[in-house]
Amino acid sequence: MVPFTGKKQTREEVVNTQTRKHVGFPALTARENWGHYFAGMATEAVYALLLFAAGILMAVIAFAIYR
Amino acid sequence: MILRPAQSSYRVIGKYSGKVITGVGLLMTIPMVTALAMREYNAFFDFVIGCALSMVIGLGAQAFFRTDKDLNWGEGLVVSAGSWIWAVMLAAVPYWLSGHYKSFLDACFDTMSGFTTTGLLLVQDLDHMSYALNMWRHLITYAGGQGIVVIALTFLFKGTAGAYKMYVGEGKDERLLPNVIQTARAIWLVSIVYLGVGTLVLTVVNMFLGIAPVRAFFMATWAFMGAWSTGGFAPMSYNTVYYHSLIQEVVTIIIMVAGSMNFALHWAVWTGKRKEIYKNIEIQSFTTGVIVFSALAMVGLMRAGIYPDAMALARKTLYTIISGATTTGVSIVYARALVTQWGPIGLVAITLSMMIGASACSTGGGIKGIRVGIMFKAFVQDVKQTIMPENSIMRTKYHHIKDSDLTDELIKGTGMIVLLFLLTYLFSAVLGLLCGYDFTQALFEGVSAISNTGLSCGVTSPSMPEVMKVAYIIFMWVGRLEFVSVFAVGAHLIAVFKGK
Amino acid sequence: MRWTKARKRVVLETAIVFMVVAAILLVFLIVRKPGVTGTAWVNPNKYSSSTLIETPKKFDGKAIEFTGEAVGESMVRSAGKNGAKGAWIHLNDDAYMNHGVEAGGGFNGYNSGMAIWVEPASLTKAIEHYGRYKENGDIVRIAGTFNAACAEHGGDMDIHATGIEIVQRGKTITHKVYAWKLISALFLVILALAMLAINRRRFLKEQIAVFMNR
Repeated sequence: MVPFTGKKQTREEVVNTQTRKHVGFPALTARENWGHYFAGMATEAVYALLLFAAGILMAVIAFAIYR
Repeated sequence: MILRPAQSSYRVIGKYSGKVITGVGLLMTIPMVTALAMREYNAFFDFVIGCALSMVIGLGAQAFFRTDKDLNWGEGLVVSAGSWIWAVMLAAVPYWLSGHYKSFLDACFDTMSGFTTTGLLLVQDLDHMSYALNMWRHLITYAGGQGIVVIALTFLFKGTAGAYKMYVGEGKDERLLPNVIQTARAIWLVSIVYLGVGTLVLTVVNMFLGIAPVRAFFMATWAFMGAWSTGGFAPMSYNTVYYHSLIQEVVTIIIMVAGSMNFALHWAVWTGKRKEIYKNIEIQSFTTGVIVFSALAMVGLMRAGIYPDAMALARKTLYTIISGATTTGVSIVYARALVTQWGPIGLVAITLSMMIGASACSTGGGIKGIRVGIMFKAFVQDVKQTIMPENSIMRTKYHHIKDSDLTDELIKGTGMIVLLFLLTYLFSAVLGLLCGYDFTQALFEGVSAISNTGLSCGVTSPSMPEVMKVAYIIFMWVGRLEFVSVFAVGAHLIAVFKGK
Repeated sequence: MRWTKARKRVVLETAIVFMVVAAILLVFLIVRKPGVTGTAWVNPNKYSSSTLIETPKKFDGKAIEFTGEAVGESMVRSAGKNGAKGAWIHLNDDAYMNHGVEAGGGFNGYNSGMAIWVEPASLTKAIEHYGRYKENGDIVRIAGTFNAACAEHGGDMDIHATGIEIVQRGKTITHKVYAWKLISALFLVILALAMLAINRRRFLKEQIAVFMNR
């Protein structure tokens, strides 16, 4: 376990704490990892939403051109 | 000189195939429980029969083929590709018993479509189907998206080098973590967290849209599984047209896009390397594809004057193109409307996005973004080389989680698979043409099958020629496993008969 | 006769093969004969859903009547044009509208139907049965305007209904469990348990090894 230092864990530390242990689900599901997991999910959701927004922009431009 | 495989080879293949078959049987317990919960007793017994049969065959194979040997590369490939055949046939038993299929071949078409996360269907009268069978259909796509091998790896295999070979044989080769069992675990973690969050969000959305709670939950689970696995099944024949809701579309777009991402990318973004989301070559290639093909489709749609305002145009185009690019296959326009309203330009735009497909090591299909990205960079490198001094050496890099060199070997390997995909796409179009279909539509449908997308423009139907059904089953299988392991099976068979 | 290890092994292997073959044969025997292809059926609509989808521009904006089986459910939404709550229903005008596969009908291809926007939503309260696994839905007739790409609903192809009427009540379908299914299921479960039992020591050893190796 990486002691609480008040800093966010770097990627190396996150992965290392997972692999150094003899594996079982507990290592991956350790509490300190969940913040990273949800932040990751949010990042991916934002990407998809940006893609959708780009589509709306394109549609508005298309209507401006064709009308 | 071709050597016949050793006796011990058969035993290893038999034993490990048996494990995968047992896995399929265990999966059937989920729809069994669903049937009991919803008091669908006929369906319950369909699944008991299917499960028991799988267990008898799977356990029997494991007991009969006794060996302590581990798999080598060839055997790993044969087991991963070959067990798909058994899984497809056994999973088709409950389908067949339900009475919704014209023939066992139709049932196998649907299970192959499910496991390969394609989404083309031959089921008849879907709107009157049991909860249990709908659960099975969607569960198959979820399991297939994970990879049948990944599932088996979780419960039935020791973490040996042989297990890794099977994992690669199924078309995944990313090492998220040092050990293949850990990698399978990490993949499961991502999938299950998304399953939990996604189902919850969709259940709430469904209830808000006016669907009763129990049905809302089931439809949410199925919609999630269909989108995440990039399978594209839906519980009603109307597919996503059923919901008529912007928020449902947006949520499923998020799930589809996430589902089509490389698991290694998920793992990087989920463990702090968030910049990967824009530096990664597959994301860049995917984004470019979606924007370019959406623009193309919009040109076609504007010319035909189909949609009345920008929002309608944006929603329909984006959803359909993203559905094609992620190779999901959910649809918010009727299948035939793709031909009658979208027309040839729209069809071609979708076809192109399907051809390229999703990311490698994901639930998606197609040529894959990373290959397109690599070929593009290789092309640019070649052009640059012509204007550089003769004896200069050029090194190009591409970024996928980490920076890697664009070697000649990589380009060659990538090019070969791209070529194989393109030839198969063309072959499917010609086959459709020979069976009497229009070329553009046959190409669309063939590409849809090979890239495991599942969008249909009306070619797939229970009255389709049987030869096309068989061909599509093979296309779906070959596309999902990306040729190599299927060829290994073929090579093994040849070695069995022609070897010394 | 001495029961050497080799002899025991041969007996075990023969038993396994026999059980597997028996299981496969049983399943082949019990699978239902394919359903009969549905008898010829006439679509009650002058313009069926397939016609509407094939030539949407021809009917865009025109008044139309549509009859079909109500499937799924009625989804009440708040945003209606006239301020009232509206609801979505889906009417299927395929061969299964009178007799779904679950109710014993034969095969006739895919489902086909239209999405109907009904305003005010209270009109849909008249519908009691919606087509599901256990139900044959009410046959409903609506009159309204067809939209090839509805401006109000994000470009969806739909019909805005001004009135609905119930043509025929649906009913609950009782599914009886076939005796042959029950017996086959039992038999196969016994085979599976037998397979597990005769190899229990080996399987147990293997599963433990798998879990220890985590």
